[in-house]
Amino acid sequence: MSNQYDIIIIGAGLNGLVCANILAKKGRKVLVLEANKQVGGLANTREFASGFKVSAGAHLLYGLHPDIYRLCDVQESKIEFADKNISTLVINQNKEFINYSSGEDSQIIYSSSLSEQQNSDWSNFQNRMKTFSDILFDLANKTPPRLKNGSIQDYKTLFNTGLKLKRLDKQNLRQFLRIIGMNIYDLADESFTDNLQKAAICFESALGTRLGPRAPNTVYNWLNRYSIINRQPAGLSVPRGGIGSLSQAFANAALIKGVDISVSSRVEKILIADNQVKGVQLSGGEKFAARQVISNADIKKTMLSMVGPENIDTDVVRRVSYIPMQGTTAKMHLALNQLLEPITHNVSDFQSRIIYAPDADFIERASNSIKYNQYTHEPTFEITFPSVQDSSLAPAGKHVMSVLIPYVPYEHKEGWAQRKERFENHIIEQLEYIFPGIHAAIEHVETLTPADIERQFNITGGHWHHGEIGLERFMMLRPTAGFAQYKTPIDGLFLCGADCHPGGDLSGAPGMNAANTVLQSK
Amino acid sequence: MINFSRSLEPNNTMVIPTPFHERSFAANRRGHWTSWAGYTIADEYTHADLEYFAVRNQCGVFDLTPMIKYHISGVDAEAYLNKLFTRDIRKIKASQVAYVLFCNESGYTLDDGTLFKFSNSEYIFCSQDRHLPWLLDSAIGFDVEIKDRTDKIAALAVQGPTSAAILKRMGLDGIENLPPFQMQSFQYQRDDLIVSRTGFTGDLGYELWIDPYLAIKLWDDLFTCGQNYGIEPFGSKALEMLRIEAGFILPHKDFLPANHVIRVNRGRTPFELGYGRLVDFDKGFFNGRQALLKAQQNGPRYQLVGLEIDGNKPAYDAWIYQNKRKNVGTITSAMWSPSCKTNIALAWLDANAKTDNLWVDIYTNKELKWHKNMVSCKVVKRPFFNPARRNAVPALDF
Ligand SMILES: Cc1cc2nc3c(=O)[nH]c(=O)nc-3n(C[C@H](O)[C@H](O)[C@H](O)COP(=O)(O)OP(=O)(O)OC[C@H]3O[C@@H](n4cnc5c(N)ncnc54)[C@H](O)[C@@H]3O)c2cc1C
Repeated sequence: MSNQYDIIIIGAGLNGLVCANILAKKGRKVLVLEANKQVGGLANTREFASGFKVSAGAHLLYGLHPDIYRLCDVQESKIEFADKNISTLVINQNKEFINYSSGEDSQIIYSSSLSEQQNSDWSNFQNRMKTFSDILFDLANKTPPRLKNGSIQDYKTLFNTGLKLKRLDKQNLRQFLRIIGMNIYDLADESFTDNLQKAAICFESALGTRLGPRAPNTVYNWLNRYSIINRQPAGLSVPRGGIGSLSQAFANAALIKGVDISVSSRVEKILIADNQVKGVQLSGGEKFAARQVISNADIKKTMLSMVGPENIDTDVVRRVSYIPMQGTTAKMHLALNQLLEPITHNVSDFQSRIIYAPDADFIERASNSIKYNQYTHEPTFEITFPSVQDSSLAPAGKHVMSVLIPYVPYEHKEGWAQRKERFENHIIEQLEYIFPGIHAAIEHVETLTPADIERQFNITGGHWHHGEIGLERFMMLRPTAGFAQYKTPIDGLFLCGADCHPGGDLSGAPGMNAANTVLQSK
Repeated sequence: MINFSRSLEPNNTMVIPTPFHERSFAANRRGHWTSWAGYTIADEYTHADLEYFAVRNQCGVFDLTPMIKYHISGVDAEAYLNKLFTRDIRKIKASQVAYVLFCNESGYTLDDGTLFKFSNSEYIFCSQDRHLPWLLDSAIGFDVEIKDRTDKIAALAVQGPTSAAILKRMGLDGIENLPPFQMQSFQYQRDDLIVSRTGFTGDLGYELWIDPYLAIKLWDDLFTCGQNYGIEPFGSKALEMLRIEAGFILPHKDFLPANHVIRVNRGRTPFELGYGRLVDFDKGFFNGRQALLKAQQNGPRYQLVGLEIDGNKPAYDAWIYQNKRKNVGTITSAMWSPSCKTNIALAWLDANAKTDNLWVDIYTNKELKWHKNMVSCKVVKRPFFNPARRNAVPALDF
């Protein structure tokens, strides 16, 4: 392997891999350096107990930008899906439930007690929101305009956004402007009468962030999320072999195009001379040269550690260090020796994505403790049973349970070293209420606090989006002023990770947009 | 008489008395005070003109304690300062005092100040304004410790022709051999007295830095030794006259520190301030480097100049016109210079303004009747007043 490349990409997360594919397709000689042993970053399948595999980071696919398969020559049809159009089952402590489909025209499929009116409340709400989420979706695949940059492309983006907004009729425009900065709690309250429906909307809006449903910005977050899910013909899905197979497919497509991918290669320094990128140096000392480097690692790692404060303005150091990047979501993986009792007396329960969130107030309360660096004693959950759809993930007859726990602090105020075991036990106790008998069925547990995610996936703070997301960190303000458009103050250094517009989730959009920026730059 | 010094105890007042306050209070026959960085210092003791002449003809003493003093130490101190300041800190030698500027990312000047180098790992940086948050944030990634020592160091400026003689009489042997922009440590009582040949007056002069508990003793010694050398205290009004004659620029008056402007481009680059020689692009990265490279390419937008103006009416806040018609700049500091016997000013001119045929309009109020006078002026070199004694080594003995 020669050490000279056109472009080096730091990190083989999904965004790094998408970026590599697009650039290689345009004839660039690309090297991808990944610190971990496997490619994929948070899009990863790994064995967490002997014979039990799980999607260790993200566990559901719902956001891959539709253009991306084509741009990367990954044939969607060749990716084997264990399941598509997975529905969502929202439950409360009284075993009441609603089950709704995701993707376009989301509808209530079945429920314990919804009236016809309430059923149509759901569809009406989705229809109303679709107009608005389309606006955000169109922005997602565009490089955000840079204020004062003045390139024609930027004006077009701004103009088109303006035009899109203008095309809304008066009533819709008024409604859009009314709700965009609002909180989801109030919006859900005006739109539904059923507690589970309200809870469903509130839960979705807050996923991955530290915001409770009553926080401003939650409508924006919901629309953002909804805008990508809505465009997925497959709705919520999981590839066979877990999310890691998806990353593997993108890595293979890159290899075919001649990209070199080197795992267990941690970049320690980005080499710079006279403000121009020269290459990178690995922690082992090995150097690689390139005039363009794109970092899939988060902005803090990239700028404050790999570039180093000695090479950037204090104003930039300030802005970067102020980005809120503390993770908020924990993950728990359970190896079970048998499947549990269905909740709705329907075995298909376990094929759904299960949300435990009795009502909107419950979620709001759950969100309180993270402000004080504590975990809540009444958590909400998003749960999947990946082995139900994909038996290759667990030994015969046994099962894997994958649990997302929102509102878990990055650092517990007493320190995770002190509290992690109690946290784990507490969560299992809570799960026992929902799934009686689970305690006895557990063979092995793996718990990842945000601090664990930080360590294992090399993300500062271990945040879902590599940093909080919201209107104040949107478009040209994402990840922070001066970094929009995937560029950095260092010539030849770009960013392509979830901390860039449009944000996290398995969308590949930041990777795609970054590749386009790099192709346009000299 | 009211006990003014008592009422200045910290919990009684919104201003802090300096360690010299007992003495400056007694000397302040006018009762004019001003505040600087939270401290109260004399504005005028007797009359600004008298104090001014004391400095130019004999020796003046100014209470410099409120000068903000940051102690910077650690193995990365040099590298840190090289990121912070625009000039190459590696070229500064121990015991040297250097004039420094620092900029934000847009290349606009945040402030200027003096850097006292003790060793590669120990410096004191003095500035008129406080900058701790900026200094600390600039230190991210560097192994340095930054401490605000403002209230731990009392300071006096001793300026004027007889200053060296007075210090010599006070027992500072060899002080006359200290060159400008150098410092030296002397044993004083059982402590260190640091003396630097620096100042804001453009004259022969020194700045004395000492532990506050020795402040009163130092003042008394100076005034005892200076009795026959015409020593007088001077306040900030006289200092303002002295510094304009010396051609020094003053933040907030001649330029706005970049962190004080609302419209970003109201900041000024070092090039525009006339300090391009203090920007060193060869030393590697420093704050503002990229913007300053661009600024250098694009050329300055404005130029800070010294003006000599006809007549004797100071051109406060006046517009400057080319050919009496085209507005090409404004005046920031102006005075009648008693030493040069001319009417002088510091001013901003548009960078591309022609410098011949310049005029200022001066408004004067005669018995409540306003007169507008178009007066001719010309650009001159700074400093306006630059006596040979200022830089002579050994210092002249008057
Ligand atoms: C607990 C959790 C659950 C989630 N669940 C979902 C979900 O169900 N569905 C969904 O769509 N999204 C989910 N997300 C969000 C989603 O996983 C991420 O937003 C997305 O995977 C980010 O992709 P990325 O390529 O930008 O970054 P990453 O996946 O973080 O990739 C960055 C890569 O850079 C590497 N790297 C970092 N530093 C270096 C270095 N110095 N040298 C070399 N390599 C380096 C890392 O090892 C990593 O592989 C979840 C996130 C979390 C935290």
